[in-house]
Amino acid sequence: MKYFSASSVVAVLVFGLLFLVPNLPLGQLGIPSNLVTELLILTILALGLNVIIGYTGLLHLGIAGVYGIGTVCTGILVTEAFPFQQSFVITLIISTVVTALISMAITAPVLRLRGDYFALVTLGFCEIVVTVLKEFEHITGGKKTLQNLRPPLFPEFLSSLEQSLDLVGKWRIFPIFYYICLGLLLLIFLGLRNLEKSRIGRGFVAIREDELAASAMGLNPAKLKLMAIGIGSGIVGLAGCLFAVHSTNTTEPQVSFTFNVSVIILASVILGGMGSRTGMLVGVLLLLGYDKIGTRLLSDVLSQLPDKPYFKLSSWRYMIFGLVLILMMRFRPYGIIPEKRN
Amino acid sequence: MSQPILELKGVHTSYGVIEVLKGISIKVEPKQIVTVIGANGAGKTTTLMTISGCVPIQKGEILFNGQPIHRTPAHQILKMGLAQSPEGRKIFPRLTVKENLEMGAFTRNDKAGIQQDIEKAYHLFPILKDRQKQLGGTLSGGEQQMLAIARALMSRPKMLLLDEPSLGLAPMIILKIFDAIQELNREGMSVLLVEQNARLALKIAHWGYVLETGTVTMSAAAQELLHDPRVQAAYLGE
Repeated sequence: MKYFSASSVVAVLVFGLLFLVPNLPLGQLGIPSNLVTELLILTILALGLNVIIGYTGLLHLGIAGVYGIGTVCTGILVTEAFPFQQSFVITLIISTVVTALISMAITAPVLRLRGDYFALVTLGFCEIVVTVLKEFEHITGGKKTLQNLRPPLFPEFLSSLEQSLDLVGKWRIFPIFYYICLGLLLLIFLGLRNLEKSRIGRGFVAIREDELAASAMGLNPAKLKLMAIGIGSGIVGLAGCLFAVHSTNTTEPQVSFTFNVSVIILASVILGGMGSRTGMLVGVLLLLGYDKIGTRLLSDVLSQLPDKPYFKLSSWRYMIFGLVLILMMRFRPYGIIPEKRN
Repeated sequence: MSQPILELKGVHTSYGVIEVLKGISIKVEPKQIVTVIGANGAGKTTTLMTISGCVPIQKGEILFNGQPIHRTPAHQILKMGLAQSPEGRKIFPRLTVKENLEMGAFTRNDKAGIQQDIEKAYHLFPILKDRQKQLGGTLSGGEQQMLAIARALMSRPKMLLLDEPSLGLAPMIILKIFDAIQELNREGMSVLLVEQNARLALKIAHWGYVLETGTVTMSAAAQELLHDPRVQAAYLGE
């Protein structure tokens, strides 16, 4: 009897590594610290998507749109242009809930669709969100986005706590915000572990395996799918909130929330191993780590070569990316760290 | 006679324009085994799927314990005490045997009771206990069938719908499964059994129906059907 599975050992190692990252000489290595934090946020995003795609088997191709909703929701709650101006803690909670509700409301009518059709609808959904964010300038700021998102950490009645911890104005700076994200990541990671073991978690898997048999067992597929969308989107909304606070603006929708973003997150979910929490950590850190940080470092190395290569790595990084995905599908079709059930 | 536990009155079901059930009426008395036999395409599976709510009914009525259930969604029919073990078994291949059983008890909340019923299932099919940590997909066909029946029992149903439990199994295993069905029935379970293996089904059943292209052509005590020359010629190969 093994007490620890290989994947939980990997998870502990990854979290240990992530905990130590701020102690590395990032500056000397040429790694911008804000990208490291962003990686954590994207890992949370992938964990949310995994609830929808990995556990429940709903191919959602518009997750970036959901991410965008969370981001703009935070922007609205925080910016000076609106009368709310909430603290980070309150914003985080509201963004999570609101994103979950919006996503559920939009997905509810199409839950009967299966497979490819569901994928197409979610794809369209993402495009609509991007357009809305871009065009509804009075609310979302349009291309200029909502700027200057620098909320206090705690709501007013707890502000003395923030002062006594000496965090006023400092908590959004590396590495404190990094650790906040890491803490949330760990919390969600453990929460999902419990979800997987719960009745509902098993229900999600049963629906993925065989919807008809599941309903013959007394499961209500529509309700469970809606719950999966809600839980997954909530986590994604939380990631969106972190992203907005981290970037201090709601970022341009056509850059941050397009189909391409959905696909690259989906790719890291598949690479890591659909349905496997640890797989998400590994998948995002490898794939997006390569995309955002690795290519940068490699480009620097290449540009220092005596014979300057006539190409830039950043322009053909997706070739490597594609090659890796093809090789993965050939040799490890269930991902780097497959779900235990495989 | 007492009130039937399940009654179909003139049930019509179609897939698109193809009418599969053309007004069939079936009665199941409490604590009896009733079997529906018939050739491929007669509509046996459709009958069960219509009862369990997985396929929508066109016309007619289905009463369970006197209550109409033909407009009730599948997941609620189970809660009323009518469990189905579908054709081709449909176990969850990537859940373990134990998890499969727990899925069967999805509508229940009493942990102790569920545990008790899992033990009961292991008692009924001891092989499942040896396999409890294995994934459902790794079981043999016979073991999967046992699991499917055991899983259907986990909701503590009053009645069991069984679709072709003998499908693709070795004769030895079939006997084991039919023994188990009889044992369940002795404990008071009503069973509606749909089978191609007419001889075996009629041997354990109290009452039998013959289904031909969507209509009930014969209905009699199972022993009678077993000795009826027409049934013997058409379904028993004699």
